[in-house]
Amino acid sequence: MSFIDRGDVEFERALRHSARRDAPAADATARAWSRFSVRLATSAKLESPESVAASPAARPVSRFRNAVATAKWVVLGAIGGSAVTFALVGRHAGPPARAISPGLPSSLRDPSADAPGEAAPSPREALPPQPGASAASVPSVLPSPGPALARRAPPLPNVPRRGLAAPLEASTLAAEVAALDAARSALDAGAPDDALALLHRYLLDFPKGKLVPEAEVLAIEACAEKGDRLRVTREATRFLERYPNAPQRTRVEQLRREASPRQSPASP
Amino acid sequence: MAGGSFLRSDPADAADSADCEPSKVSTSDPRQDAIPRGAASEVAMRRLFETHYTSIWRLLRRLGVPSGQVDDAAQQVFWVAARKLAEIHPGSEHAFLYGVAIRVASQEHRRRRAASPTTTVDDRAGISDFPSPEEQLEQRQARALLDAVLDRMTIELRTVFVLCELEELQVREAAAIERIPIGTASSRLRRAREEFTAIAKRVRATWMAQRGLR
Repeated sequence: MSFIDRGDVEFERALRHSARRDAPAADATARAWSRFSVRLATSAKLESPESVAASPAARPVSRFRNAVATAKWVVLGAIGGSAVTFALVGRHAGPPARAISPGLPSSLRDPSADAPGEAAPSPREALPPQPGASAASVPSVLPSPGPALARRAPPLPNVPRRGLAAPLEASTLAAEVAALDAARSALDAGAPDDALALLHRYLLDFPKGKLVPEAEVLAIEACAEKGDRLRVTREATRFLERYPNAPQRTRVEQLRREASPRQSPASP
Repeated sequence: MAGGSFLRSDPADAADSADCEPSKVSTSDPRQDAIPRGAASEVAMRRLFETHYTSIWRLLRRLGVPSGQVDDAAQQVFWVAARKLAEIHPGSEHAFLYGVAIRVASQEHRRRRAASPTTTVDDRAGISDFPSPEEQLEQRQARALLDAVLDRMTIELRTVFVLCELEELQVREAAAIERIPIGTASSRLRRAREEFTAIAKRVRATWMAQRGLR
């Protein structure tokens, strides 16, 4: 006899009672937390990228805003620097005066102001060399993020001049590192799908990024976490062909070994 | 705020300031998304999540958030909490989360109504979709019928009914969460009980009649 057949009072009681036993699936909370923590991590990274180009006092801004602001100052710096250079060269004047506030983040400073007596490069000269015209041509041996960041972390006077594009480059690299950190956090949190989504986003944002190989390795790890052995094998092989001397080689080979089907001891 | 002094932050403002659609709660506005960072905050947030996720999930379900969207809605509730973590008085986390959840559910309710403004109350609506008793467990069937009954109540009465009758909060707690006077909450609860009983009777009668026709 169903509760529906037991009369109105019992029916109403059964309805009320049913609500108290309602709950999400057993692992729903863990899954939801995983998803939430990824979002928290991503948000934290985007809000406050550990930007080596920005001073500690710099206000946390989104990656997009940061890039726009940096680009704006770089362009203004290039124009201003060129104008000052032309004016000074024409008048045989002394070293250019420092017009930049020392409180500005290094990413926003005009590098020409840090080399007194040295003529600021024209925007054309300041263009960085283009080693990575495509993802395939990204240097196979990438500097690890830690030392690379540490090299650029010291105050500006100690930083070797690398042209006007250096701050922008550093900012981009920091954003790349932040994006990969978020993907790594997702992976560590047991959310490979989220990690893959973040990596996909990274590759869209930085198709020629310097950390593309690292992103690819993370994607392989995410596939391994998902148990997609076929894809791990395929992607790992492809990676090793593309980056034969990559520092991640050992890691990738290990992933491929683990993903490849085991030889049966009985097989000849 | 009526009886809501235990809340350092107003969940209404918090929920209203967030876009109801979880996918749209992006990181585009740093002011909105400024969340406390650090290991301590994460631990606190995780504890909050693990302690209250189930009850928030259940509350959202009972307030009419479709099952496929409950997780997104719950994520939004906790996202608001993460942003306001420092402003929530210790011990009042549950009330804060309930307040946010009610606003999130209300926004979801309004959006669904706007999407289908011609929806009319029909006692038969939805019932024909219920699985037969032979196919489903009694509990699941009862919950489906409960949702069918609750769907026929106004959001104001439904909210106070869910808080007091299903979540077993006291009237003053519900009043504080809803930011209404206790007298108003009591009045709504009385009307909600009457309405629930009347609708439950109709739903049962419809169900019985439908089964008799089979």
